Amino acid sequence: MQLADQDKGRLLVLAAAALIAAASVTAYLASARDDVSDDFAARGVGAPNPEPGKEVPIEEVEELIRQNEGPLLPQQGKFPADSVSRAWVDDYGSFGFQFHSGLSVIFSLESRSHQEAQTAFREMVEADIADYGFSPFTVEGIRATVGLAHEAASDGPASLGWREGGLLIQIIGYGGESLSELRELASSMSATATTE
Amino acid sequence: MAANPLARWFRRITSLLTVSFLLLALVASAALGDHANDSCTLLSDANKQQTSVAENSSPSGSRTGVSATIRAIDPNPAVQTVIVRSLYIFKDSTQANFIEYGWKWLINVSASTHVNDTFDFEPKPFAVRVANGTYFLTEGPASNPPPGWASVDPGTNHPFRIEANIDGSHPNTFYFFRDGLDSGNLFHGLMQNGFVVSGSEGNALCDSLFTHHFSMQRETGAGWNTWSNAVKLTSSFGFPDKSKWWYFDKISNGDYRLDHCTSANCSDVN
Repeated sequence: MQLADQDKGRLLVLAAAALIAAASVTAYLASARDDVSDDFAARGVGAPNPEPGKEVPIEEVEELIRQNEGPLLPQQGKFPADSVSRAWVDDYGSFGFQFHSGLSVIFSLESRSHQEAQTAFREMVEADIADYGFSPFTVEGIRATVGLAHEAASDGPASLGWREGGLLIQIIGYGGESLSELRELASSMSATATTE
Repeated sequence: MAANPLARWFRRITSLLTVSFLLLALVASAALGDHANDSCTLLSDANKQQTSVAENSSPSGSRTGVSATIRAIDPNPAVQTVIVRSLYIFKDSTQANFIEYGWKWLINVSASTHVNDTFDFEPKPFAVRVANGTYFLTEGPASNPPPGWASVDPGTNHPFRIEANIDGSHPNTFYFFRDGLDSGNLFHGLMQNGFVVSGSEGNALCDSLFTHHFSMQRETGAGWNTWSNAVKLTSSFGFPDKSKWWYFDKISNGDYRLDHCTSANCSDVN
């Protein structure tokens, strides 16, 4: 069957309109997906507060660490103290450092005894390791007997946590750092107390 | 008089384009679900509507429990993405460690990237534990542990409670109670100090943030008492207020609502 010229033209316009509609819907859906995925990628699962507490000079946080016999950041290496982008103190007994990548080192006043904290860490590893994926670890140099380690996974970034001096110390790889990098940082942090 | 072929062609093009654009608008409207006072487009986690209320801006003393009666809403228009009403105990300002308990209504599963977060036919109790930045969500009767069971009926009120160490010998275990019934627990070995928060979330501007939290209490060493204050949190706590269509109405220290604005970004009251 031959189509008249005007029918051909009508079909052409209809096809163009359908293409515009399809392209618009596709673009809309793609942009919505991009918006979500980009943001989750940037913030991560269980996104942290980008600016916890109140910003203070780095020396103020270092002094709090010394007072509580915790470990200071190293002067050299991949994450030296002078590359900290933000030092902070909050109203809830925590203080810490953030690096440009998002890597966070958090110190919290530990009200539990060393033994109580060790028990809690062990229970956390044993209670639900299948769901949660925490494993025990020891900071090289035996500054802490048992801590918690977590490999980066879909449920969160790589992290370490241990008790030292009077502090709970947490290193969280919000910048995508690997667990081995965090272990390296933990090992290079220098204790300000000689005994636990 | 015979019509000019060029004019006739122009009229045809114009009418066809008009019809095409009308169809396009219809398709776009359906895709956007633009039936409320704003878009139903899925917002990213960072841009979603959210209002969070804390007991104080600078609380003193550790909170080991939090409770409130929370309305399970029956929104009209219906939920488009996901809405959440919940209570929290946060360890500190980093949001790297907390416990959360409440109900969620997830319609668009793309609105969540959390493992175990599933579609809900109606408001469903859930609990979350974030430890060292690692997120764990549990929901439904088949989960382990089950933070409540089945669902809660839309349009009804339900007391939710988080309480640590209920027997005096498990300081790191957080127990959940809904409607007074034991609803499981989660262990968190990194929480000691804590401050309490309650919140309302929606991942689209057309989704309802309406809530009524009342009989709000928190537990300290001195026992259970009404919140000493109810303060809307800001970006300095990592909780920017993004409630474009909802205003905070503090009725008392233990009672607040989020109600609908008559125009966008209206002011809070009380």
